[in-house]
Amino acid sequence: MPDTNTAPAIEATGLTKIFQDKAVALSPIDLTVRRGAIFGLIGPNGAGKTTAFRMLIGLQKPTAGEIMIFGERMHANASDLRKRIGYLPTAPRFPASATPIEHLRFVGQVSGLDDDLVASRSAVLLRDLDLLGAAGQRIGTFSTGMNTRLGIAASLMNDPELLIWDEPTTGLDPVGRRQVTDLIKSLGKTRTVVVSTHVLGDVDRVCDEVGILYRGRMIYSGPIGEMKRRVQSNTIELELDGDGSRVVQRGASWELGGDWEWQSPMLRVTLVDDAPLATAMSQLLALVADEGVALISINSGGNQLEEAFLKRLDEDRKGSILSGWGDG
Amino acid sequence: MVAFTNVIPPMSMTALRALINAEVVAMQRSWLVRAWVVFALITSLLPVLMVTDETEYVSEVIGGWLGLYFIASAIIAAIIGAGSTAQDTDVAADTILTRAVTRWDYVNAKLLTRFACVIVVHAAATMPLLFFARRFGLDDATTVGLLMATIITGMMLLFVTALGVALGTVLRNMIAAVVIIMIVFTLQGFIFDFLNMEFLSSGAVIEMLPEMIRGELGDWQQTRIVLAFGLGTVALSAAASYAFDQREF
Repeated sequence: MPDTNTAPAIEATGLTKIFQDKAVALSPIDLTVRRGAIFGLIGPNGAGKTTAFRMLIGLQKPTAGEIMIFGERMHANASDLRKRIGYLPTAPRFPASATPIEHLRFVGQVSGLDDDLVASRSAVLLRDLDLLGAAGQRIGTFSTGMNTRLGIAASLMNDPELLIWDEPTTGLDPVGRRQVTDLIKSLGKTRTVVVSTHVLGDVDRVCDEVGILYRGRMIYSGPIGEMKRRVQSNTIELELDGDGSRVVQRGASWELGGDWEWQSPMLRVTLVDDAPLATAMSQLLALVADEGVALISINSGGNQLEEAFLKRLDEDRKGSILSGWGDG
Repeated sequence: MVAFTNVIPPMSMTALRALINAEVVAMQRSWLVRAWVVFALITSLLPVLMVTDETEYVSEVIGGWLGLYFIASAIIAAIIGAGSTAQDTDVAADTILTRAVTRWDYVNAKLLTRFACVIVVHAAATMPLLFFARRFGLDDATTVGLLMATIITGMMLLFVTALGVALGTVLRNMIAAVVIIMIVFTLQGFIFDFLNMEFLSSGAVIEMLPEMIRGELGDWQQTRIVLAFGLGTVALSAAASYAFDQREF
């Protein structure tokens, strides 16, 4: 029996989900999220992220495997354990005829909070999530973004130690999205946060650990920095206004540049191994200036997470095919 | 931005109480329940008008009215029972079952509020009727007989409600559950007659009501009707709770 005070926030072993003997949503996955981590779960549509989350909160039962939350087994009736969790589903649905205040009161009462605490927390959450103006409005009239914000408020009502948020930026405008990512960062200082999202930039900005789910399998789980290092390739991307092919012609004989690619308006230079990035960048900028081409933007490895994600998916696809051949 | 002290009071019946409160509010807002109350109260006045000229026997009038009232109310009880766990399951999953509640808390809150609703409407419709009918009609009724007829009709309604909850939970479809209940009630007379257990048929029980009100029905006959519908309600409630506990969201 693990020590419930030191056990990881989430420890899932051999987690498998098969729906009605027809569809495999998750083939055995192991997932460990340490206490205090901000963990991002990423993967394409249908990868099994929502199924995994619904099992973590006890809405669905694993076909095989076990889920331990803070060292205790999660199951459908683990209400004491759920007191310590705040869950936000994808595109949450609420009682349409209730107002946000009524709904938050209900959530607070179910969580065992006294009336004063329910009232004060509701007010704080509605204010912080920009729902004060809609506090008396029926939830049925809410936009997707407002529903998501109300879902976030409801998930925080019981002041949980662990937050499990499935697509928390769904339906939000860029400002709302930034607010939510800032909120995740802020909440992550005092509690464990697990989020799933399609927006890799959000994960890059707030998460310190990441898991990649693909076709029901966890193909990577670990620190985000480690994942990025796997694809570090000293790539410089320049957005140019003009004919970049002239730069490519002159760069062909350049000793630092291994691979040059011009696809208007982007010039992509992949440096040879061990090429000093700062030196290469200054020389490249001088070359662009010599050719009289205007520079619009410059980027060196800004999409590392996306590249790492795509590379890992690609490796997995090839690996799957090869292992399939081997079995045959 | 958002910071609270991480203290949650110990819970006992907190979740169940909160769920029941929410269900009571939902039932008060339900147009079906409101229509049922109005229907029950208005129709309960009809037998009073019939007996005021003191030419009709109380047992026949009340027995007849209870039968008709049961048939109409059973349809409503089936709908409110079947809809309880078959409707708005997405909302339940997103907003309730992910909180500090057990599946049993949830389904028991549904059952208890629906049973309470049936009992309140039934009492509101029958109690004034019994008083006025005995006061103004040709009184061939016994007090125990009247109470038994009222209680047994109410128990049959609770049974239908529990059947609705159980079928709605298993089928996950309110309309299908209600249709099956109506088919079962149409065919039950033949089935129980064939099994020589006609006392389990609501049709047979309705026919016995005047006799019951006059105090002419044997104790054992009444006892086994009470036991059959009482135990049936308990069994269906347990089955609904178990089925809901096994359900995936």
